[in-house]
Amino acid sequence: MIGTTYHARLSGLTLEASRIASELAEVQEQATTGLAVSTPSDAPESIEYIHRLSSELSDQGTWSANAERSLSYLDTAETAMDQMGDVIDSARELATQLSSAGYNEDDRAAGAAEVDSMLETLVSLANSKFDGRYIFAGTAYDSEAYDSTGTYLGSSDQPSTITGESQEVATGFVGSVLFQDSVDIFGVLTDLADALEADDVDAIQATLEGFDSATTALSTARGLVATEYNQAEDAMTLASNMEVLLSSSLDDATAADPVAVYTRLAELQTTYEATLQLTSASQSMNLFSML
Amino acid sequence: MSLLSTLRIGQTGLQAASAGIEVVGHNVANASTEGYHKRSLGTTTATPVTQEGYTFGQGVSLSDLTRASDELLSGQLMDAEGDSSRYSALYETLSVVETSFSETDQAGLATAVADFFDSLEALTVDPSDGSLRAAAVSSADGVADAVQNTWTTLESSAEGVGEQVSGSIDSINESLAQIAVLQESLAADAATVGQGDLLDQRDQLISQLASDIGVTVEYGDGAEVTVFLGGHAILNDTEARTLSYSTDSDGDPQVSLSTGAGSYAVTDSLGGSLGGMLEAYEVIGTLQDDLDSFAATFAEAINSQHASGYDADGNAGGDVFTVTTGDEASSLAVDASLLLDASLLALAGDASAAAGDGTNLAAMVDLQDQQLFDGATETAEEFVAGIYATIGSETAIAQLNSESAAYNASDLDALYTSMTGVDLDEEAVALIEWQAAYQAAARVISASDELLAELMEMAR
Repeated sequence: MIGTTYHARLSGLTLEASRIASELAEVQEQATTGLAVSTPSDAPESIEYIHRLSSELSDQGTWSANAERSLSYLDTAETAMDQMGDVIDSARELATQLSSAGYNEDDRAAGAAEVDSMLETLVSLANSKFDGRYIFAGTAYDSEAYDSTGTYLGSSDQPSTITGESQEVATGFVGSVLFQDSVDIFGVLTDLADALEADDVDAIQATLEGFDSATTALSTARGLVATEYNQAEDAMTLASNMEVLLSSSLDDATAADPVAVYTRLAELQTTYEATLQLTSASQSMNLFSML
Repeated sequence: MSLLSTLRIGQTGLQAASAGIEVVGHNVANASTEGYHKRSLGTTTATPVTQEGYTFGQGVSLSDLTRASDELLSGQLMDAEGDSSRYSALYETLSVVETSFSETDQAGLATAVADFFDSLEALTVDPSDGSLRAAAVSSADGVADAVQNTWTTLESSAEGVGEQVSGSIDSINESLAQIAVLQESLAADAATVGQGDLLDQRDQLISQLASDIGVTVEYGDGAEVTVFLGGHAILNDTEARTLSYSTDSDGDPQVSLSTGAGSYAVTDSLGGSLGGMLEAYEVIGTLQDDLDSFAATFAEAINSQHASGYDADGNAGGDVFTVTTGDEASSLAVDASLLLDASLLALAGDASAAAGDGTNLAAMVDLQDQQLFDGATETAEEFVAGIYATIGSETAIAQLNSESAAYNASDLDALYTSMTGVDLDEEAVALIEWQAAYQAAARVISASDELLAELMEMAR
């Protein structure tokens, strides 16, 4: 209410000017920071929602980083298993070749030495590591997964990392499950080496079935790794998309609408100037000054 | 009736007009004086005389000098000013407290809790990684720091409120004593016309009391007045009682009223700015209780799960957080040994587990989604968000109430001022009137003087 006396009128105008100045400062801060919500009292009803968005946004960064790190391990696993497949194929080819009657005992003895070397390579690949971690040693990745004979030394637990809400991706594998579950691929090579050493053609031919099983087992294992790899990639994509979505939602919840802010700013500035002018005019509006 | 009596009649007119101009001058001079109530001069016809069967007027005499007032409106205005001061103090205090919960330019409690669980999730990539372990311990330390810092800031605000209330009590007692002295003067000078200034001073002090502590007033005969705080009289005309400040066993501020019959707690009756500050104190207390509850539950949950795991050397997990019962928030800290050696983090599921075993780590990560807080109805992050919502809504409501109460008080003040304050336009018109009256009286004297002179000339 505007008072009917000179002083009441000025007092009322002063209060109005003070209120407008206060809102003006608030809107100026919004224009400067770009935020409509900078303290909990700006939107107490939305504060839980804003915190949840912030927390989920933060989660996406962690999950994306975890997935990216797991891809490095999975890459290493995939490369190693590709090479292991090549070794198995070569050994099978050698077995097929040396099982024919055209080869003699010396040829097979030389083949046995070659298979021993292949076994070494296979064990070495099974002991592949990335960033100091043995990929196929399960959670015991700080030491070798296999000894030189192909005996598994790792743990039976598969390491994994969190890449999403209730979602995990492998960061390593249990070698004994991948390479020695349905068939022992190291055992197949050992059997071949033994058969070649013994110059036993029947035994050499018998290993061919083992090689088929080993190839199948490796193929299955590579499928498992590929699945984890795809999951990691999906997790990264999802995290990236969610980051965009959550950032946008967070902006909607906290950011000031520039158009609304600058319109209100202009409106308030005009009103404030008008109030000041009114106050100034009101000061000279008394009968004494006119007499 | 004679020319001489006409001269005297003119003189009464001059005297009345002079007094009228004097009152206008007093009003105009005090137009900006806080608490001044305008004065009005009343006049009446002087007692007439009867001569030879005829009654002749004897001019004008002054009847009264009144001070404009409206007790009903004054009471409403005091209530409104008390409310305005109360909400304003509440809002000002809470808006300062709220800065501890603003996370736009600083990492606060909510961010620290989210970071802690993020660091545990990051650790799942490689539980044996020393730098990731150190980061997790550091983020746990971040939670403890955030809880402690927030609690300390709240405590500092609460102490500030206590100091302000304590400091205000002295000036309130001084005001009460001054009013009592004014009441004595008013009683002594009951017959004089100078009471207006004393009443202005008294009402101004009472108005200040209404703003400070929210009082109600009962006016008695003459200038008698009784000032109440809640149901207790804190001033009975010339007898002022005293308020005293103390703290209870919990350290909470208490205000008592000392009377001859004893001492009464009036803390809950306080309104005005002190009432607002004490309301803010209660909100601060609630926030501190919430922080204590969070610290206790969070530490218990993390420690309990951590104790189920095994560290890098296969030893059972110790405490991640240390906390003192009763002072949970202010004492929350990360175990000193763990701060120095992150390998003590018990992330494995059993003593002989492999380096990469994160069984217990996974269980600790799961705590993020478990409803362990507020009677097992909220997660850690939900509970923290609830604390933010509490201070946010309390501050927002206080701001709204503060603005509406200020408008209400302003409206009533404008109404009261329009009735009791000085209107310069009105005074200017009154001045013209009294000037005209003075000039007219002077003309009467002048005319009488001329007639007397004429008479003297004729008699010569």
